Amino acid sequence: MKLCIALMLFACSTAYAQQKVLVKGKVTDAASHTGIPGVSIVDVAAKKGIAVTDAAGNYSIAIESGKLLLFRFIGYEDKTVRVSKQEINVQLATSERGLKETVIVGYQPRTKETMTGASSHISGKELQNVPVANLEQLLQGKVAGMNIQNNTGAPGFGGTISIRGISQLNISGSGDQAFLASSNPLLVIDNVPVDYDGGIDQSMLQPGAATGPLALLPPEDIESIEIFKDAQAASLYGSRGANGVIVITTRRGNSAVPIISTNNSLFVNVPPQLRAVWGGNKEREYRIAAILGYSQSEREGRRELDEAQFISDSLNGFYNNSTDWQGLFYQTTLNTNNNLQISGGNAKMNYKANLAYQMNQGVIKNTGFNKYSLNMQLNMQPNTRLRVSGQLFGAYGQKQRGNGGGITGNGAGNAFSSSLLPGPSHFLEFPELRAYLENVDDNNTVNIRSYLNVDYELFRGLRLTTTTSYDYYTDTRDRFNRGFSNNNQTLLYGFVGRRGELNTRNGLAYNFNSNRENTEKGHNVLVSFFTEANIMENEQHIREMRNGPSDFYWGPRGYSPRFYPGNPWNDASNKNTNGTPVSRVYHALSYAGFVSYNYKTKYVLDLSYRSDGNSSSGLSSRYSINPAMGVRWNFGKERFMENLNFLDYGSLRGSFGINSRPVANQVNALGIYQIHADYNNQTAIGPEFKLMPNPYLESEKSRQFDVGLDMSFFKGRFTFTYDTYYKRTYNMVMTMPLTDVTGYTSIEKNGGAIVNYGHELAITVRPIASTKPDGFQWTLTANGSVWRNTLTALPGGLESFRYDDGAPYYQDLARKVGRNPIANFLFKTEGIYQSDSEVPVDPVRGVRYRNGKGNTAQYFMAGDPVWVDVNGDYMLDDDEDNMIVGNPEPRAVGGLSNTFSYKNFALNVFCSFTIKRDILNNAMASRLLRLTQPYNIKYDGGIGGTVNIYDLDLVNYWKQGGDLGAQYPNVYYVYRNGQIQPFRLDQTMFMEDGSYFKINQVTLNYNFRNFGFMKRARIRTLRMYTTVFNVAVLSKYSGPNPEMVSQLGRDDINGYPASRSFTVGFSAEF
Amino acid sequence: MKKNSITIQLMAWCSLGLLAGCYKDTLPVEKDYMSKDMNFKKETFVANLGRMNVFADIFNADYSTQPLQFELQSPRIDNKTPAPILLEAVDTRQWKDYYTGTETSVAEIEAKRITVRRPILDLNSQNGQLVVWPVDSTKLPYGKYFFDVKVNNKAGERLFPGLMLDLRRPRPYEPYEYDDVTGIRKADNAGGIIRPSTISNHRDPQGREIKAENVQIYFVKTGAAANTLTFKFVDKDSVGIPISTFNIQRWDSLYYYSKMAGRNVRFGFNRNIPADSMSVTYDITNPFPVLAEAFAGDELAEYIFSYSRVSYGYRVVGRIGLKFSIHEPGEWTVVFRYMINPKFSDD
Repeated sequence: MKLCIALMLFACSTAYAQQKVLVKGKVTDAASHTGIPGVSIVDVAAKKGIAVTDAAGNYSIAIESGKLLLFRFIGYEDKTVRVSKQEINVQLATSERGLKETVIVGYQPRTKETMTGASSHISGKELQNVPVANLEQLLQGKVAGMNIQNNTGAPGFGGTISIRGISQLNISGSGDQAFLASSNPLLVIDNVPVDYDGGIDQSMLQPGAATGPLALLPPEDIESIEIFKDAQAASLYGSRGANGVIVITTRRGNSAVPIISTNNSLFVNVPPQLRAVWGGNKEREYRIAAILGYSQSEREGRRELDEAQFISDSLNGFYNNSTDWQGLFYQTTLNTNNNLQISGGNAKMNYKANLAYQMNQGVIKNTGFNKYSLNMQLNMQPNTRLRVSGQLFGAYGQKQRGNGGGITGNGAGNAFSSSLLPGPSHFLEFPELRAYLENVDDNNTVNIRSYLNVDYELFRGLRLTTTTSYDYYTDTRDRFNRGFSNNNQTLLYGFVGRRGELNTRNGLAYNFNSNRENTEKGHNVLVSFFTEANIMENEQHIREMRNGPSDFYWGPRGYSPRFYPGNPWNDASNKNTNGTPVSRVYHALSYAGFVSYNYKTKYVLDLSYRSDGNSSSGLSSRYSINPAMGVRWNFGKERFMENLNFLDYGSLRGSFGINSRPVANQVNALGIYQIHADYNNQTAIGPEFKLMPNPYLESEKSRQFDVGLDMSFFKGRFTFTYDTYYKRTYNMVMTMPLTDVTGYTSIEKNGGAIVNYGHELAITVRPIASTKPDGFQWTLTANGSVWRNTLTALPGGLESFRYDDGAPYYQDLARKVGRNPIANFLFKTEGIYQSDSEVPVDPVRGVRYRNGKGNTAQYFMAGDPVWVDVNGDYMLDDDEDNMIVGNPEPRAVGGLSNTFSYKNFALNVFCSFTIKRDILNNAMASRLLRLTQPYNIKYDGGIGGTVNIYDLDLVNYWKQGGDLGAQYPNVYYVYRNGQIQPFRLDQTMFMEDGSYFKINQVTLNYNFRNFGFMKRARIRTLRMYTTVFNVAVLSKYSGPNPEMVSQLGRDDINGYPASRSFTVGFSAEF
Repeated sequence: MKKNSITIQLMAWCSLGLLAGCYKDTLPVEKDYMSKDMNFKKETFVANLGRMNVFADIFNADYSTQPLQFELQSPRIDNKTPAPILLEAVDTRQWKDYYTGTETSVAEIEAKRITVRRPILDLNSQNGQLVVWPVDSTKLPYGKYFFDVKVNNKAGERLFPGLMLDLRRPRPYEPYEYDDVTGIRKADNAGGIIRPSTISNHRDPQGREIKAENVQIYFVKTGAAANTLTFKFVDKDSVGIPISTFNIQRWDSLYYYSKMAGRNVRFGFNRNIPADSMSVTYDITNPFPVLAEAFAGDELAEYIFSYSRVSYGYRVVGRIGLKFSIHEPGEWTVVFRYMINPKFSDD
């Protein structure tokens, strides 16, 4: 079409011009009043393009009076004007195309009105104005049914995401670092399938750089994001799309006039409000009161006090301080975000280059994320049949993790010490602080992603497409811990990881329309078939060395003490991790096809099928299949609806499909061999006896029904999309323990099943929509989803499966059929005993309810938590008295966006919410637990660390009998803690509701219009904006932020807080 | 036309509503879980007549859903003859308030106890804890009894058949010299003679050390009028040794450590030393110590008598004591008999 326009333009300018009049004018954006360059002007009668507008939106044409002119530009509504005067200024309104939008589904463009699957759309415009380290942060609350929790504030890290609930059962790790296997969706960036995690798993101990693809992609370059939620929409993406698919399309050049657009901002990251602490004398008084008043005996208390020199020697300058440790770790940072895009071209050839840079320093010192990216795209159409497009994306992410840590435990909460100790000065240093300031943990990720797409139309309607893409990452991680901060032992750690994915897709697509002029009047068929081949390789190497010669000699790298066992100083406790944890190549081959038929675009039927085979799947099931079907009825187009003028469109969708997700890999299906100790001076090589290989492993499958309704009323004033779904994920793999007669510890088995069902609603309302483009406009969009997850089966017909979390957390988890898939398995705390007489007495044995089954006198008494004695044996014990409680999954999430615009101003307030989620306040638990050793600077115990005494007046603790409202036992308990552990973590005392309402973002925009300086500087559009991000979190949760918890809902004392950021920026187009 | 559209809309909405509403019906309801590995940790319960026998923490529920219901079924003797007598209710002494160890009289302790009618073989229906209440052999002959326990929760039920109650002869005190199966006195070197649990610095006039095997202890029940405990010392000729010999015994503050009360507990009440100083008598509870039967083996009282003498210029403290418990009510006398006469006077 564009080609035609260009040709006609050429023709027009030379052809006869005698009967014509000269018409001039300017085409502007209805909202911003800026000129639109490159608008095609079409002579309607002749069906030919006659002109395009220039860089400022001006045009000038010669045409007969009375003819109809059509102004057309991508992204705007078409406008037809009859030539009646010499100057015609046209305002184009942004298109609200609703169902006419083109969506790329299964790598094929389709109009939204013929899509049968459930999908949501995010426009790139919604993602501007906030410089964030990870794009994921901006997607929170934008899509009904997509649950994103940004559970760390560390720049460049990712949060957790799940679409339509969790679909995993395997848990690993312990306590704060316990995590559920990933439910991440597949990411498709510009038609290239990309691993969402970028090779990161959620584990604390993951060795890599932990920078995913979404962290490297600049939001400014995004045209649109499409989220496919149900089986039909995701089926063509195959097994990797079983958890949903996120398709990101970056911008393309589409203007004949080159456009240079730039978006620059300065932003300030501000740490959240620090906690009030008891410092100096107040801390000393607390410690003395606790030791003398709550030790086993006065004599014992006096001994402890005498030995705690830092308390008793109060006149010593070294111990006579009131240091604000928190303030020394946090900082406010000033950062920049810059994006420059050059694009242009026409339908025959267009190009785009996007350059982005962001410096994002974290609120904890020595942490931050810098990223650089270049995205170049070129599309060519040498003739009407051939289309060639190519892209090269290169990005470099530079992450400083400071003192190290994983995805959640990378904050500083563990390092705050006693305020009595002196702060850093010229003569004094402090290891915990030095560790944060001087330890090096540099993580670099280089990503190169490229694709070449060739599309050839063999004959009308039949297209041959081939796409080849390559996505390559290099991750490096260099750590050096200085001796001073690490028990006088240096630590040198190096990680190198290389990942690559080569993907080739070849297909044929045939499009048949019985009425080519108007698809709404005939039969339309789209048939497509493609094959996809995929080679992934992943190679990781780690070298670690402890106790090097000095802080200034960072080597020798590559020297592995494992091979020199005679040197105990290097690796005394065998802590070093050396070697190649991952080295694998993975091949996959897929066949896919689909048929989409519709009659008058009113009745749509989609059938699709895809089978995936890969080199690591179990021997007995090489291929996993993904069949799906969908129907759609655009009832708004029915004749009986025609006279309902208030209805813009209405359609009912239904889909059903099965997605398979291969879970087998070399380890769990084929097993691995290991070198064991020598036997008879011969190296013994035998199977590794941890995981028994299971060659019969089958793919995990999910079967999903979806019914949806899309309706729009009153010319877009009220639009909603409702979806309800029922998804059963079955054949789920779980690690099952084996009896020791097998010789192995465990095996992975199919057999688990989860049902997720829910309702999703997305509404757009325009309560105030002025007819004038610069009048007052108010747009409210809201979305929400409610869902339930239920465990319906466990492998081997089990009814209940306990995840035993050992010391020091003991926070067991239960997976029980008929309940939410993951539940806590804890002691239930029901208040606090107000007096000794409230403690139940065993009538047979004549003693009180006591702690443990051993014959010890650890009886409960006034001030102790009331733990439910489930089996009534007057003995509190993990085995019998734990109860299944709570659900770490939220029951509902959603988002709310309000946009007000008036004249040149626009204000956007974006909020998101999470409702009903049980989180465990482990941070509070460890804080209270650490108080129980007032005579120590550092708590030496399970979840030990330095002790910083928070303002205990803010803690609602039990003081004496009658404190009915007290939430926690007495914080002064010293001896009592050793008796009954009142602050143990495995109890519901620390389980709280994690519902929150978060004001994510407030943005104020100002558009400069028609200023003289803009004309002189040839600035086409200029916009200033200011944004506050992470504005506030409203919650009843007692901890700092209910979102900053792990996926299983544990609040880590060492979490990285979410910073608030203030941004001032401008964007301009030239 | 319009009506038609409304009907269609209505139908669409209703079907949607119906669909959404019946999701729950497709799901399994949460059931109670009963582990197949749930079991009794032991299947033979050795109990003695004449005292309370507590078997706590004997059932491994293996995380089966609580509450579990336990039911004792078909008690029988020798695995064939029904023995309903095991389920016959008897008067039992239970606690309404807990024993602190700071009580100042027997009456104060007794006031914390109440009489409850319970079956002789008492299975706790909630956790499977088993209690055999004190009865004497006239009511229930000793022997091997069998019974079954049915455990159920909402997931189903399981029968644990053939649990054995090995009911033996009474052991009126501990340590007891007689075998509770045969009734015959044990061999001399296997507990047939009660020896002191503590003895030190006892020497005969020749200066040879007197060891535990040179002392015999007898428990003698002298009456049933009250619950008392009397200590007596005799030499090898059964001639009484006055308790004033134990010259550094602090008679006014004698305690034993009660493990389960977690403190030192006063040794009996109403100490009575007759004028001839040949014995010391206390009023005691039954059983003695108070928690001796609730925590068998862990709750024993230890009484240590000490004396001081000068031996060749050194002052030595001689000690002799016994860790014991008494289960049969009555007036008990514990006699320490030195088979070699120790020297109590200075050298």
